[in-house]
Parts: sequence; C-alpha cells; structure tokens
Amino acid sequence: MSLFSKFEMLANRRKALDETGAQPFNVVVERMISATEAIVDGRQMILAGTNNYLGLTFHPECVEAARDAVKAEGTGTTGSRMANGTFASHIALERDIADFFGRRGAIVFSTGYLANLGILSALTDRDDVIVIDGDCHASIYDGCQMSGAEVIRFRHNDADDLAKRLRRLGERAANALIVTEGIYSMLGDRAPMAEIAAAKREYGGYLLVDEAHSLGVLGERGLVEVTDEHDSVDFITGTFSKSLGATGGFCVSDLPELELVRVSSRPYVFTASMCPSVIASTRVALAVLQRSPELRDQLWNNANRLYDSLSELGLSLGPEPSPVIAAMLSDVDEALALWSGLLARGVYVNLVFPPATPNGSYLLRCSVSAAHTTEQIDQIGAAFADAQKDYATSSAA
Amino acid sequence: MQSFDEILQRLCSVLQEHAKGDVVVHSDTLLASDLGIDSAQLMEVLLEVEDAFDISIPLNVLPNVYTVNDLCSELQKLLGARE
Repeated sequence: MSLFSKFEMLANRRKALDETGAQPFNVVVERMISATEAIVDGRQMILAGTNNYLGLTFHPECVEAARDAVKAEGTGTTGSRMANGTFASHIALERDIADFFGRRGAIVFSTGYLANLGILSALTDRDDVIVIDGDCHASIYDGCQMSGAEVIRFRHNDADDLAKRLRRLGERAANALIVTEGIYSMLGDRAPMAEIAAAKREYGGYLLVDEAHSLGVLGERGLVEVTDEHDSVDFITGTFSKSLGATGGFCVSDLPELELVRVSSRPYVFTASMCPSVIASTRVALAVLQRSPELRDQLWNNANRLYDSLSELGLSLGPEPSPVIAAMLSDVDEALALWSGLLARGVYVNLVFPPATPNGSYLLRCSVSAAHTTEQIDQIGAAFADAQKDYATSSAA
Repeated sequence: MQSFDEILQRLCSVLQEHAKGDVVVHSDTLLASDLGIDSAQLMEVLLEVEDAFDISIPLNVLPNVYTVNDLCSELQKLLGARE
C-alpha cells in the first residue's frame, strides 16, 4: 500500500466528475467586479455563493482603512501573537469585539476555523466531554478532535436529544461543553436556542455558540442576541470572513479564564497573526454593521424573495427562509446539470457533495447578500427555473 | 450487567432494521460496507443504537470500530462503566 492509496476513492470520484465536464471545485474568479459580480471563465457572473451577507467587501470606508493600514503598518505582522505579532490594532479589535458583544473579554484568531480549533482544543482535554450538534461545522469537529476530549453528538437542532445526552452523563454534565451554531452553514436553519439553553440550565455545563453565519444577520450580534439568551451562553465564536467581509475569527466570553487561552492554544500561538489591513477593514466593517440596519433589512428582503422564488419551483429547501438557501437534491447528475446550467446562465452558486451535507443530499447552496439588487435576485430565480426546465427536457429525451 | 451475547443480539436486531437488501447482520458484519449504507447514514443508525441502549457512544471510539463485534465490545465497556 503506497502513501497515496488512501486517495484512490477520492481520485476516482474526481475523475468521474471531470468526465461530466463540470468543474464545481475548480472555479477561478478571474476578476472581481463588485461584491456580487465577477468574471468567471471569461464571463460575467452574479455571485450567489459568497457568504458576503452585508456586501461590505467593497465598502469605500473598509477599503480605505485597509489601504491606510498597509501604508502605515506594512503588509503583514510576520509573527505570532505570542512573539512580535501583537500590534496595538489587534488589542483595539479585541476591545471592539468584546464591547460589541457586551462581554468582558475577546481573543481574535487568524481565521474563523482557527478560532474554533483554538478555543475547543484549549478549553478541553481528555478528561472533558464536549456535546455537539451533529451538523456542526468541520472546524468544530476538528477542534474537538484536537482537544482529545470525549465527543458526543446530539441530533441536529434537537434540544430533547441534547437533554437526554446530558442526563446520560450524570455528574459529568456539570462540566461538559455544549456546542451549537447560530445559523447552520449548509441549510441556513437556526438552532433552537431557548430550548438548548434550558437543557444547559437543567443539567449544567458550559455553552458555546458559533455565530459565524448569524453575526450581522440575526440582529446585530446573532442568534444569542435575538433570543435574549446572553446570560446562558458562556462563549461565542465567529468569523470576520462573512458579514464583515475580511478574514479572521474571534471568541468572546465573560469568563476571566478566556485570557488563559492565549498561553495554551496552539492554533493561537503557532501561526502568524491577522495582518494590519484586515484588522483595519474589520474594525470599520463592524462600525458600518452597527450604524446600518438597512443592510440587514435589505439582506432579509433578498433572502425571502429568493426563498419564495425557489420554493415556487418545487425545489426542496431548508426549513426556513435565511440568507443561506440550499436546494437539496438526491441525484448527483441532476445536481451537476443544474449547477452547470446556472453557470451557463451567469449565476454562480456553491455545489456541495456528501459527506459535507446533511442527510447525504447534494446541495445547490445559495448565499444572499444585502448588495444583491432585486433584479439580480430575480435573475438567480429565473436561472434556476431555466436550468430546471433544461434538465427535465434532457432527462426525458 | 448484560452479557456480551445479550448485547450482541440486541445490537444485531437494531442494525438489521437499517440493513439494505438481503443482508443478515451478524457479529462479523462490516458496519459500513456490508450494511449497504454510507458513512452519513451509519452515523444516523448509531443514534438509534445509542437510544436502544440509552447510552451515548463517543465519536472517539469509532475509528477503531469496523465490525458489529467491535461495536458490541465498545457498548459492553460503556454499559459496564455506567453501572
């Protein structure tokens, strides 16, 4: 058995995919035009799969702040937060984030992935238990694995199943770390936060909520804010790479022990820190988010409009309207045909294959932005309708 | 405390409900390939197994579980630790 034998199955799947002519995992954005348009494969596309929820990637103030920071502080920090990589701007961003969430402290990480990896692996070890929603993001699974803790799944968005598992833990539940997300990245559904918080109050433990896809989308701060569960939640993680249009991640908490993560988290210590331009644009984007509720209103108008449009086509969607709108398909050929059909009509969406999807389905995953115009939303819906018709015609032939 | 054979019998009964085709589940049945289900479906089946025994199976033990017999051994350990 060679070093590469393990790739055989993946290689075969990739070869089969290549033979269809579709290249869903090799899309190259040749030139960005705006927050919602780009040149892909020589053609202008509406981008409907970017997680750019508030459309801030080209916001003039964010761009200017990033440009000024590059000139003043250089292109990168070239070091770890533990060594030469903590600039005054990192501390300022941490203060901004802590104040924004109304929490005692914050730690920023170089990416959202690293935030979950860094927090979970530092907070828990082999003597601890982490209880996670089965549909949690890979960064949460990887953080759990890195921690060495005992990891138990509960059924997706099923607070009764969580309670059952906490009960089974007995006295260990009091020290367990429960992990859930605000909005789930694949189907756009949100966690039953009140019920999850109630289970935590009944059995004990600590609660961590990842607001990666809900920050700036549900209220200003995410699901914990709109469900008024601030006091039940011990840690909130998230990313700057979606609503805030940059990159980086964070964790906030009222617990003073959060500070100890800085000296115990390998994903915090052993990587270069966020570069100054990213910090600068993130800080401005956070201010824009707070003073521009109309962006969120526009985002939800767009989300509801596209959800209704795709529902009318008879597509199987996630359980509720959300800026993440995924059409679930059971047939890979149909998924590939529709994805290619959308691309041919100038619409890019994400194509997601199992096992990264719930229920083993193939997903045409759209993410809507406040920056999409109503006309663009209607073009996306029309492209779905036309691609669907083409597929029905070709499969009937 | 339940014996290994008692646990195995009950486990086979739960898994049999989810096996595809004419598969007859026994101790040497491979959980992934022989049951005719993919890895995501297997994780769902394990939730049913957990409920049948009123126990949670940590994800950490799964990398070493290939057969029904392997899973039965882990269940016996977990049930023993609970008592």
